[in-house]
Amino acid sequence: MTRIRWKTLLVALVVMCGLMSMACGATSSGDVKLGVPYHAQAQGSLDCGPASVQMWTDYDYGFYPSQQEIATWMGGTCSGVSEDTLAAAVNQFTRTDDAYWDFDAPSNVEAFMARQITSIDNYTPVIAIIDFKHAGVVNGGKWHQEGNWYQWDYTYFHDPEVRANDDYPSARWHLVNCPPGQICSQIISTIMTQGWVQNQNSYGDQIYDSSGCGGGGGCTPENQY
Amino acid sequence: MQKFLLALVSLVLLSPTALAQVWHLEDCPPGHAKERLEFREQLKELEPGDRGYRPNPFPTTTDEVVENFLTFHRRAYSDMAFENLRPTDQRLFNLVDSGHAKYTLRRVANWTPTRCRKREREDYFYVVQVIDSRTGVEVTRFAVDEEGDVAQLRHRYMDPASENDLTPMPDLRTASPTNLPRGISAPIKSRQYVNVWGSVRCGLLDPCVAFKAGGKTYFMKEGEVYKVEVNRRRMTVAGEMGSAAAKQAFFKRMNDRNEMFASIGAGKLAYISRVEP
Repeated sequence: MTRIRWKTLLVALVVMCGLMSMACGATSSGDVKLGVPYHAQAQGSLDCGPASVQMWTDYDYGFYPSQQEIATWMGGTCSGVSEDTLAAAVNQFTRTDDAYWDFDAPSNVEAFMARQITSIDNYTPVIAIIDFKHAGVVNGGKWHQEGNWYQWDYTYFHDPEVRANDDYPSARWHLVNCPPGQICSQIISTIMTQGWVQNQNSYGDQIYDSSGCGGGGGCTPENQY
Repeated sequence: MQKFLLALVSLVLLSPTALAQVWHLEDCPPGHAKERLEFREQLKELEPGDRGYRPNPFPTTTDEVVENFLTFHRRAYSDMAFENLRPTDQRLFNLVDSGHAKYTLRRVANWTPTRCRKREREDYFYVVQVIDSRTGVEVTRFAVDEEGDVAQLRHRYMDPASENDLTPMPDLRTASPTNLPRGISAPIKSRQYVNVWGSVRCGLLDPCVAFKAGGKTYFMKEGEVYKVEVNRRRMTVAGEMGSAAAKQAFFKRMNDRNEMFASIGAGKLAYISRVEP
């Protein structure tokens, strides 16, 4: 298993949340939330991609185009467009201009999640693809320290089909964002994830997910078939 | 002898494999018994404070499921002062501590690709509604997996006027299909809650209702009924979505042909179709 060292990242989270408590939306070091405004996709529509881009745009600018406008630009909604197009829409509508489709094998879940956490640590949303092809926005998460190790408890996920801030324990989050047999998938900023390798190399076995698996990732390869 | 045969038949019929076959699901591949047994034993040996500890590995009762959730959730927020918790968490803890929480447990069959893994097998989840017995209002809904690990959590919003709040759980007895053809019924006895990934999403906390009729498998979401095309070629998650290129091609093909699919457990996918009345 990849060995991850995330201590520096967690220290950074503590410091940054302390300094920027408004941005964190939290009064404790262990509750990291971006405060992305929630937008539901139109009822009965497949606009999860446009709704996700709309949330990210609202977070950046405080105003946003309609989901219809975004869907027209993308040439489709959730099922009809590729993740590349979704990344291009993020670059078109939000303040981010270097988003890309980040995918990886579930056996690399620790590296994949290190990029996701690094982006959140830099106050930049991530569009996560779950349940095969459903898009939503990661709005932060919850972790806490126990002795000399850290437990990553929850990921807060804005699901445009369902509601704001669905709480996924980290072990389950690994399974929905990095399902067995298929690729892990997210739309993420290049510059806002810089340093993820260092984060990954700096933290080590001090991070455990909610089921007790080390390295901040899922229990690979046991999460495979 | 008769009793033995009856017990044997019951065991076969109630085994996960038999249940999967009844529903035309894909059963877990054989093997991995050793890994799963070892994992079971590991879970039982964990002590409070250990990583991954849960008071009741493989819970079977409502009390055990609730205890697992509360242990995990309290531990997750143990580093925060009560007044700093999210209002929704404050409300939950206050309700539990007041003794006015009522718990309703339901079992949800897992038709997603997470059902069969080397170390863990998850044929079903427990979904619990936490209800304020004084008002009858559901304040929180959570899921715990077969091994007793918390799987998902959703609170009712604090503002009662909020949109997209907790939706009611469908009732197995009263959920009524809107598009069943004449002559086909949705027998209540055969119904179960299901968590499905695919063209139609049946969430863990807002599951669909599956049923069998005339030897066929159906599931309904908000009254809309879909038939699982068990006789068509089955696809595999690894084959259709094992790489970025394969996944893109798969979704383009499905979109171009206006076809729908659903997970049916293990690593398999089946075509589905909306039933025409």
